[in-house]
Amino acid sequence: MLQNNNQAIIGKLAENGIRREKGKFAVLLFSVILASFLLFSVFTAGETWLKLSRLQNTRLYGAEYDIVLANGFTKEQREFLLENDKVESVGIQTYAGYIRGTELDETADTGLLWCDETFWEKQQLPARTDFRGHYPQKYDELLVTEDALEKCGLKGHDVGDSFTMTYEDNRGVHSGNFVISGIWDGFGDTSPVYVSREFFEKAGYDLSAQGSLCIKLSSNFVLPRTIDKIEAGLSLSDRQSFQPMGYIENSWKVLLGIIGLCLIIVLSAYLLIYNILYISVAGRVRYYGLLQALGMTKKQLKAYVSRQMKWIAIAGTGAGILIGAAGIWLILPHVLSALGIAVENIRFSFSPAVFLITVFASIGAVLCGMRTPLLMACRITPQEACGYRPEKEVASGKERPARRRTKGIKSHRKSFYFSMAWMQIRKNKKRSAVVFLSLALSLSVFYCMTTIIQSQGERTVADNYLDSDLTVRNDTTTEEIDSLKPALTRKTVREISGLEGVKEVHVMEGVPVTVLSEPFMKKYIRGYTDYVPYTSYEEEREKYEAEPQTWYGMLKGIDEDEFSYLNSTLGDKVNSEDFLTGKTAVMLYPGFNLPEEDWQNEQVEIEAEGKTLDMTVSAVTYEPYYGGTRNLGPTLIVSRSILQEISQDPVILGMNIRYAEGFEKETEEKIMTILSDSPYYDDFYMDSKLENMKQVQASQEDMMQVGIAISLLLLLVGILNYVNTMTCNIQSRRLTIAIMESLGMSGKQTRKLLMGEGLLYGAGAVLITATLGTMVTYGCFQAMNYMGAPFSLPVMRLLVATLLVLVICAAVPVLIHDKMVKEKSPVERLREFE
Amino acid sequence: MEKTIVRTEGLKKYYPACGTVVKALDGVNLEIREREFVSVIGKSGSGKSTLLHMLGGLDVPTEGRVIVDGEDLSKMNDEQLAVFRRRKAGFIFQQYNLIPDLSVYDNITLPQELDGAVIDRDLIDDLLKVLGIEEKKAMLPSMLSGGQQQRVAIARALAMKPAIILADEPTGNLDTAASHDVIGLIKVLAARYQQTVILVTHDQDIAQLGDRIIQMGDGKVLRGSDFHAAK
Repeated sequence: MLQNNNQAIIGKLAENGIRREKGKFAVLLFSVILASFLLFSVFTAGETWLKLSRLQNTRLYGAEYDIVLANGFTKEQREFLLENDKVESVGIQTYAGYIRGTELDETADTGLLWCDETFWEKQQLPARTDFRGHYPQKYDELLVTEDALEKCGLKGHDVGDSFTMTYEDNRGVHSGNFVISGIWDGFGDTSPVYVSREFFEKAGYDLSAQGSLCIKLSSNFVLPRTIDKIEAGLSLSDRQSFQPMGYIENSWKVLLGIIGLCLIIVLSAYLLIYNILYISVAGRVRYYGLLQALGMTKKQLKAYVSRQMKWIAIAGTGAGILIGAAGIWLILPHVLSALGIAVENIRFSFSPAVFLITVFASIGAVLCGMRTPLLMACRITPQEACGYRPEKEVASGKERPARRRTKGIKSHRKSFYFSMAWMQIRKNKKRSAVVFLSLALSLSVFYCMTTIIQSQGERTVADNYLDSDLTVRNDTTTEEIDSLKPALTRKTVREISGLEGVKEVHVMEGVPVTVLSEPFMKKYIRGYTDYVPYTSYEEEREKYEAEPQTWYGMLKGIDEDEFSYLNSTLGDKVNSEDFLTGKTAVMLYPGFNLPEEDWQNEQVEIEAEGKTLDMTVSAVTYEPYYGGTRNLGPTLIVSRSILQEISQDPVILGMNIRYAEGFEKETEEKIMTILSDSPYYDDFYMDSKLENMKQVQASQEDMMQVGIAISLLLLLVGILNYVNTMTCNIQSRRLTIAIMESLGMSGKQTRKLLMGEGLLYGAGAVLITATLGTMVTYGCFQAMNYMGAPFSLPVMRLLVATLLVLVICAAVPVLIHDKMVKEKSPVERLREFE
Repeated sequence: MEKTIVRTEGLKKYYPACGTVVKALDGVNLEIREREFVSVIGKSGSGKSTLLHMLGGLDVPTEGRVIVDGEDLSKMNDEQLAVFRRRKAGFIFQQYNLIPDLSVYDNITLPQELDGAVIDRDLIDDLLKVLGIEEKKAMLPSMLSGGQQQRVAIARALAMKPAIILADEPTGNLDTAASHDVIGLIKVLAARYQQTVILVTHDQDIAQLGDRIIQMGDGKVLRGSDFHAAK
């Protein structure tokens, strides 16, 4: 048979078809645009979110890396990482000693670090905000921050200035003159001072024992398997520590989340296209039948419908991406600004992969969505086309008897509406499930974001020891037994306690003591010398025997409330009576690699101010709050009354202050004013919850903003999807509604029925959010909760969002129906189907 | 003597269409008595279906009055008309107009459910039995034949014991045997429940089954406008 070119007539028919049904095709085009827009936006926003997560980590840890290999590394391990294609860069950072004091501050107590070029030039660069000078090249050059200078009492020093410092490294204690080669500032810990390679090499440290490798992976997303493979390939020793960052460990979950989200969007778009096409085909059965009667083959009919959809897909995807790009780069920042969210640091990035995924996914949704209606159009026979009514086709699938309800739909009116509404939801389970999920997802993301934001709020961030708002520590001690100064006076404590905004003050007092028990001290010195390689056990023991004060300890007294708290943090609980009567003491972990059991039940005798005390170590605490004094010997914690038995006038070592809620900022300012009057102000170590909170908020701010942008987008997805589904749903039920109205259902009853249906969708979404959403939120919260903030729900905000969703769900079907029906009487609507 | 249950006075329904006015009904005056079985016939576009819709409160007139069982429909708002439809009028359509998602039983009880009325189960069971669809009550309409679907529609129209039964071409989609069967059932049941039937049809044979025939043409009653008119 001769082939004729019939493409022209098919093209013309397709064109005319679109022109004739402008409204329907406009909705189709809109749905494709919407799907591409949402896909593009979610992918781009998701990718930006991940970049910001990395930036957040970079800011928190002061460098851009994903895994740390600590406690030393071997050359082979470094080479393995450098050759690994999953690894982008491997930086070295290592401890190089510490500054004991400078010419202006005897108790500078600042760490010295050395890092290699990769770490400094690549990994640390994103966390730096300012840098002048250069990285140390010579032995006597140092790289500092303003914070480090202040800590060393060298405030005001600049690049090129020199100073004298006493420092300790693995070869001993030294003094020397050093030049500031550079000053930097940035995120992360800004207290350490960086030294040159020459300094590090002479300091006696070994990279295989102290060095850390900072590993940055080449991908933003990695599977746990990749991390495990790297770990396995390193063949770690027992003392080495391999620590992946929480962000990189969870990156696959984020990726899964984005994929899930996009699947929902694609599925929604598919369902929407399917629905619209289905209704379109169902409404044109006679026309298709006529075309076939006139000689159009099924193949030609398929080509005719496909051609229309191809045009829609191409135009819709293109427009969607353009609108998505405009939305992301132009509109969203303004929306966020209008909502009071700072947008300076948000840079949405474009990626060709995102572009391609959007194109494929959108066109894929159109192709899949048109498949069934297309087959349906092809199955229509000219005979069937006569007398066709869409309602007959709606109940597709296997026909089965309706659930028998001998008592009717329901005996009560309210239940009748519920029953009818529920029936509609069950009718197309796939479509309903997508709407439920889409709405629940939007609500859950909103729920998750607001909960995390709320939980990182002012009162809930970073619970300190004893839940204090401010910890002040007397930092005047050196290795000399008589170095402890009364920096914190009883007058200062009284003044601070008397402030209006101060709720609670716990004072820790202490006195330097000489340890008389030789077996205890021998064990102690053995542990110390094993840990500090340049020291010798014999020498130190002889030093102790000759002059026990060189190995002085610190006896610290706490009140009964504080003891209860301390006891609650201990693994093995201490008998209160024994502690309060001085029979037992809690020892602070001395920092040696010895298990705590080694110290339990050790007898120790101490002496101070001519009096002696004998006690048993009942437990070991790791709480750094009880540290901060530079005694070489043990730190023992006893009850205050026991401390007072041995010392007439113990020195205040620290204060733990809690503020009354709502007065935090002013109270802290007042306390700072009182403390700044002290001549020892520079020797106070302070840990402020408010300051911690500011740091956390600064590092999390950008991520939260993108989170809010994503949750707003998702809320839009959910609502639009709901609107679209309800539009199709009501459109397909116009006849049913018209029949019911012809049988006596009033307009009010119709609205009630539609509202009930909407409310069921809303309630279902709320239910999913309240159960699964809470579980997911809790999981996400814990994954991000590195500061140990308690989980708290922003009840008001959630309530408002829930009510809003319910109102939208209830109102949308009614508005759609009213718009569709306009002023038409039931009979006019019935005629449309005749 | 039976009382008048339906009366129209100067009933007009005009539609604007392509710049002209279509006079679907043009001054119809009509009286129908209680328990009467009236057939309305006429060519396509003569206004017979429009008249039926006006009598059932499905459409509102442009001018004139419709009084059914003493109530003036032209004075009712949409809500009142809806209540009127479910309590006073029972519709039987050519397309059956059953709700596809509801079972046969639920379709029949739908007007009562909408009215919040107590369902008269004895009546429903009686109707199902008389109409021969007792076994089908749990099925969906799509599982029934055309004739069976129309029986369901009849049961639904009668379930509220309305004053008037309005049947718009109820046999249009049925074969001859089924058509006579359906009309016979309508007639028997209307007599049983003492209801008035107004049947629109283009089929002369079917029309002959009525007590009176009203002939319409160009929106006017050509013949049989009052009950004295001979068949």
